[in-house]
Amino acid sequence: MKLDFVLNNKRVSINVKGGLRLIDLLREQLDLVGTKEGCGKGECGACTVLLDGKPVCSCLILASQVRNREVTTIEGLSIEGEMHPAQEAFTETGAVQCGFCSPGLLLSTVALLNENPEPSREQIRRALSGNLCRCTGYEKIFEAVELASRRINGLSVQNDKV
Amino acid sequence: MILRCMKHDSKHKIVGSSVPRVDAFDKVSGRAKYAADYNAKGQLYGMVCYASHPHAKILNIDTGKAAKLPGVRAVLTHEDIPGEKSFGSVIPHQMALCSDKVRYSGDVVAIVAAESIEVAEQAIELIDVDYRQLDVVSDPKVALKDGAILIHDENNLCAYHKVRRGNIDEGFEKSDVILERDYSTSKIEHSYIEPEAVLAEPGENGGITITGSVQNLYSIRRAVARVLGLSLNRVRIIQATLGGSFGGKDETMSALCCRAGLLALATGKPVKMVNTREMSMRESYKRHSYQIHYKVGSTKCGILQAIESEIYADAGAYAAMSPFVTWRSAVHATGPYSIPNVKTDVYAAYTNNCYTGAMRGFGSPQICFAIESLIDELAEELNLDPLELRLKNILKDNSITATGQGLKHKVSLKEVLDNVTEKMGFVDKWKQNREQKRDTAFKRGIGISCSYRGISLGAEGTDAAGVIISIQTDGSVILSTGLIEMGQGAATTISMIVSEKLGITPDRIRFLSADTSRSPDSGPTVASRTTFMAGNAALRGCHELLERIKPVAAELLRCPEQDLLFENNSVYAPNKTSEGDRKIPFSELADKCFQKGISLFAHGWYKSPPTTWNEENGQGDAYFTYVYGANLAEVEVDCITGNVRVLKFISSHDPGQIVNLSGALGQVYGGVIMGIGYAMLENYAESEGNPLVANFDEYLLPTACDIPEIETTLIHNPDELGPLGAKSLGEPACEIAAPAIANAVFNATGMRIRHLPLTLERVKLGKELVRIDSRGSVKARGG
Amino acid sequence: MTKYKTINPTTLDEALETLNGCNVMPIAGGTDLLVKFYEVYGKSLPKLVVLDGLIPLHEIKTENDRISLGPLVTFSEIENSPELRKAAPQLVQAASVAGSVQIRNRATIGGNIANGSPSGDLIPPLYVLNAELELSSVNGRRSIPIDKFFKGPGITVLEKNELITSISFDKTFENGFFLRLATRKALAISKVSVAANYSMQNGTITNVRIALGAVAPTVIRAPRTEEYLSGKELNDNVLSTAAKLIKEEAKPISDIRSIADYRREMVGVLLKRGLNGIPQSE
Repeated sequence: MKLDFVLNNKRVSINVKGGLRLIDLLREQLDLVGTKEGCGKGECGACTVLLDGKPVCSCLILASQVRNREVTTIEGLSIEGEMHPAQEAFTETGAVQCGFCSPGLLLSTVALLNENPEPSREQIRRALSGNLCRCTGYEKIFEAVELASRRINGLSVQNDKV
Repeated sequence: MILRCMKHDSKHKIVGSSVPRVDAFDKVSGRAKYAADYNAKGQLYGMVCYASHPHAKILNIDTGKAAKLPGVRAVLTHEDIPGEKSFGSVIPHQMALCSDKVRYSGDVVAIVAAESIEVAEQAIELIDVDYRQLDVVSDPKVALKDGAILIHDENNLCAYHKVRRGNIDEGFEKSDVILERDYSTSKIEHSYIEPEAVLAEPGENGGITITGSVQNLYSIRRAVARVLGLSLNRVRIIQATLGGSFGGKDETMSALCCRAGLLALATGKPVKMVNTREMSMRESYKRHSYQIHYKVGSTKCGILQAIESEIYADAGAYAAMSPFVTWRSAVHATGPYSIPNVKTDVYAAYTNNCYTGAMRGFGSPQICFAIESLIDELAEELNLDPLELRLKNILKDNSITATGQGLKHKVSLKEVLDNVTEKMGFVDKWKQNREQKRDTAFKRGIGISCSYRGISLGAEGTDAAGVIISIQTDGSVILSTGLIEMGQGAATTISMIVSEKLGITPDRIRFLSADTSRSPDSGPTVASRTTFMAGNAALRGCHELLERIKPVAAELLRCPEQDLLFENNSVYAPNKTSEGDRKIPFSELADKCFQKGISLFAHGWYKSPPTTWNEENGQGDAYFTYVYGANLAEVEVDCITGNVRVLKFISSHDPGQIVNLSGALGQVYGGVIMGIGYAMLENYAESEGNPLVANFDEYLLPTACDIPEIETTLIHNPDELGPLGAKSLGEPACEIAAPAIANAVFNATGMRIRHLPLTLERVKLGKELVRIDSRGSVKARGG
Repeated sequence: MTKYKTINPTTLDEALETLNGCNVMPIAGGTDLLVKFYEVYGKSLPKLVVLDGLIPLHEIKTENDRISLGPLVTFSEIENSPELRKAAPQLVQAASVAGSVQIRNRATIGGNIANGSPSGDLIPPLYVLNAELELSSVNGRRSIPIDKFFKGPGITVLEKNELITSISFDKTFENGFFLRLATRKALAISKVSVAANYSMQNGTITNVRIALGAVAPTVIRAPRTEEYLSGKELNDNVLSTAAKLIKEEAKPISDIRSIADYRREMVGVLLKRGLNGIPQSE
């Protein structure tokens, strides 16, 4: 089938089998390998992408379900080479270790901050609870989200913390 | 985050500070290439045919129908293996493809390469294997009984280690109080979020190049060379960016690399193999479950006299690292205490369960859970508080360990214990909690634990590593070593050590992924040895380079060599040169050296200090140095539902000298949460050799909602052996979380839980969850 | 790489026509279906009828005191609906604890019902709301109360060619709750859940409806407990008796998520806590 959708702010028109999983469409057909597969069952969140701005597991969506909708992957987060504040914050705070869960976590973070630019720690926990991370213990990820939030809101950023 | 940390030693320019990871940008932008992200033109897809039973004789394998399926390029069995059929670092008996029998449900009997995954999967369905089922052995204690069904040709004893010190009988005679307790721990899946993947490509020289999610490249290369019948120099293993490992991507990857390699050589095409989570769960080795019996004797006033222990580890179907894992357990079995009389026996037994091997902690989390629970139980018996009993018995400077080793470094156990207890007012809180009303639903509890840990391999084997440092003519530097970055931050810490020594900034340093054909075999990236071993090797390489470039710099600056200062990508001689503070850019110096024909390439090699071990009595200097840590957990127990919330966690460790503060904290947080998963949630349950969990829907990891606030205190205690004083941190951080939580639950409820994990059902009813047959039906087992 | 065959209707009639064919299966959010697809169907995978394009089935409609939800309304939409927060608090509570953000953004109310799991979190609230399901096929429409919809775990009265096209209920009596227990604090399936809907008049409880999740082959009501509570003042004695009664009404089994004894005990605990206004501890 012919599939029209918006991918990372660009219109895409492509011939695909409608029953292809979105993650396979992205990784295999469009060569966007930044989206990772960790469990294939919606349990780990590594494959998180944004569908019309909302985080979803791309392993549980079929290509035909994104027709005429907007998909954002990790490759679409930085604009013209400039990193999203969340990407900068993840880098600076040490929120990344092995990095396999990072693309999914970043997309969940961006969706959270778009909806709620000043989330509380509890709101951050809840928003990220669909993304498993085995390396970091989440603590530095929370700090990164908070740093990104302060930057986005133009608040002064204290650098006394690590 | 709340952090208390000794201010970093000002004598270092960069070491001790927080530096963003050198690989972070690639990882946050989605650019980092993990194994499954690699593809090659014309590649085929490999797939495995798993054993249908956990224990069975293979009578016949018929691949005829599968081979005829259009799109199938190769179907291979053990008969198609050109080299040896098995591999293994300690005991080479793990089957790349099974020949006579299958020993666990993750064993593989045949492999397929096809033009698509779908065709490969279909072909697997068409392979007919005739089995004669054999009785299954699933309990390690049963496996060691006379007449037990044999998993391999000889008896089921995979490994045995003992430690004997003093006279155990006399020790108990001198004791006023003797306590005997049984503990058990569950089997744990590493749960790296990246499932295993490889791309094997036939090489031009008749060899093979494999890019994959590999942790220990050289042991994997030995396995591939052995099975494919190739010399080591024709097998090239390249490490892709690794999506977590925690000790887990070793033998599992040897098997996968052998299989992909066999298919690539048989077809002459690149072959890609990517495990699904289900395959990974089924096949990959786990952390050992342990059954532990302790007997401890103490005087009335709490001076430990004797500890006797008998420990059984489930090795599963193959030896893998079990002999070494259980050796570490034997060395550490009595905990961080001075005990004059010790008798320790540790057994690892073969069963038809999923095999077990290395996982962060390596035989210590099981022991730490048991011994640290036992010490609390003893304190209760003696009417002492848990801190008091510990302080009376902990190892101190010059103490002698259970294996007879005198501790010649500064022993920081008291300091780490003080760090976690003082701020929380542990003893007062611990006493107050005991006074809580009987009928309150929600009760608070507080608990502590501590440990010592021998760093690196110790007497397990030869311990040496190399780092290549190559200065480019523009002054940038390329590093390569056989020790790897797997998420733990090695690329950044090694870069920082080189940065410190050469006075160049980390952004001018590029740390290459390991490649067996281009980096020196530095042993495995395990045992919290990377900072120590690679750090020391890097220092030697830097030293060698500086010896060569200093004369050139001195000549340029017209000053004596000892006045030179390498800092911030330049070299100068502050106030000592005739030209004032003239700085020469490092790039200019590098270029000058190159023009003069001076080698800008160095290979630093470091061999660890000696260790000793006497198999007969289990005595010796087991490790060249040790690190110390303590944990405190505060919990709230819902006594009505059994729900335990970990409210607060304090972790204090002595990593010697911190290299990257941010990375060090990351290791502690990650380690603590892995320990909390171990304590509260995780259990790779099996029944009669069949796994009962298949994916993360039932094997539960902690989510962002399941974790407490964590406070970390790192001690500055440079070790004379360590690179700039650094020791290790990755594993200590995860080994003592569980006992602190179990001790806290006791403090809250008065109920002692001796078996992990602490599920709601276990806390409420003392029962654990076990499924008996297919998904959906289970029975409860008393626990 | 997994490939399914799909059909993508854009109108309800087209969808029902397609569903009238052989070897087809409707897919809504896919968060249950795609997870178990292979396990259930093996090699004879049915074609998937993708419902996403049926715009009217995504709507939440209110008419007087009656609310009707299209089957494609997601958990997130329920969670964030100000209307439902007032009109069906127990449904909103259930929607907000299930799965993860990613799952809630895709999982639908229709899918949760059609999947027929006794631990489906939206089902107990719908029981206590006396929800009516509209089932449609090429042969016409029928209406069925939710407690007549389930036959057993994963088994429902939905015919192969039928689709749930609407879920409707009256706005609640002012009070309601949904409480559950799970191993983990997020991304977890309920071990046991209790939903209720009731009014308080002059200190006594009336119009009480209680439903239990994951303690029987289907979600069940607790009629004896409801009857006992009706007209009572909520004091410790009454709550204890109610808890005892409701434990007798539960018929739990042991499985990988919990133990029968535990589930039975917890049904009483959750009822007491719910009526005492103790919130979900997550």
